[in-house]
Amino acid sequence: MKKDLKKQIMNQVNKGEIKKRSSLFFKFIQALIIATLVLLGLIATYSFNLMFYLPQRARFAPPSPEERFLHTLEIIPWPIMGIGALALGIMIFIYRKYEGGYKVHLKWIIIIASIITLASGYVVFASNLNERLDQRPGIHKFHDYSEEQFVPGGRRLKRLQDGDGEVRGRFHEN
Amino acid sequence: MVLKNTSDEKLAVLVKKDNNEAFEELINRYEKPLLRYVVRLNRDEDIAEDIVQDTFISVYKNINSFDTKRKFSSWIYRIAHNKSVNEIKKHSKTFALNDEIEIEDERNDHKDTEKRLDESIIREKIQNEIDKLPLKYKEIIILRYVQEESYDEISDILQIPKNTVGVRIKRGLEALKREMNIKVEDYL
Repeated sequence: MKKDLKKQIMNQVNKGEIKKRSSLFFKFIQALIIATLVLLGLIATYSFNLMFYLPQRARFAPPSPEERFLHTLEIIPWPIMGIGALALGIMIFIYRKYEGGYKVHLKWIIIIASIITLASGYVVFASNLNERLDQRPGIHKFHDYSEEQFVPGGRRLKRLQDGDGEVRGRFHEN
Repeated sequence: MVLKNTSDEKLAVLVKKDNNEAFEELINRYEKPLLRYVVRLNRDEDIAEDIVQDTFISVYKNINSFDTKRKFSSWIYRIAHNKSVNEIKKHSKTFALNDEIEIEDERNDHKDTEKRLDESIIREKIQNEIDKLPLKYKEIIILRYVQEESYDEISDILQIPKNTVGVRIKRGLEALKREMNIKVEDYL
């Protein structure tokens, strides 16, 4: 039997059985989404910055031109790059799902967001922010740990500094 | 009386300000079109009525999240659409959700179809063929040709880019044409 939808719904509304969520609630959700996007953007940018910074911190000597490509691949801290890419991926997902980004083709969102975060990461790397942050004990420790764990040369450098490593001619003397 | 000439978006503003008559007017405007859309998607009137009721309740609860710069119709259709899709996924596995359009084995004598059947029978057959389409083509064909929504509104309702709307309509119609062997648009 056909329901009288209007009557049923209005009964519930008039009796106060259905309550509106306050605009404050939606503002809070919106702020939470934006804060999450910003945080993920910062994580992605910082990770991409570390991708450039950690190999430099490990003090690699410039490679010869013929081995430049392989050398570059070798010294990239891939797990750090993975963290950056993951943050970027979650950021794009949230943007598309909750911020109306569905109007733009996914491939363009991916391309633009990747370029922006990679470029921002490089700008941070090119500034002296890393060196300044490195002076803070907590961050210094984190950079040490990341370098040891994720940069192939970093671990070797550590062994070299401990007098326990093999010098392959890729590091600066000091 | 005044409410009858008020735009949907203005009515939504009034609902935000606790005007229940404005909400009643929105129900008057959208009950039938939403029911038509949901029934076409679900093919079950009882379930469709529940979905539409749920949709209006969601609209009322979340009215403060509605951005009055956007179209109210897209917003309410989006809610009804999400609820319908959830219901379909929950209760039926008969809808193919993949990209492939499954072409049924039954091969009627398509060559004579147009000659033999009158328009209403063809329409009925088209409806049956629409039901067999994968959900992503079915929903878009219904929105475009039954609800007569614009590409912009369909894009808003389904949350896909506008050119994807065009591509899916084209593919949906092609699939129908393959099955029916007629120019389907003439009967929709």
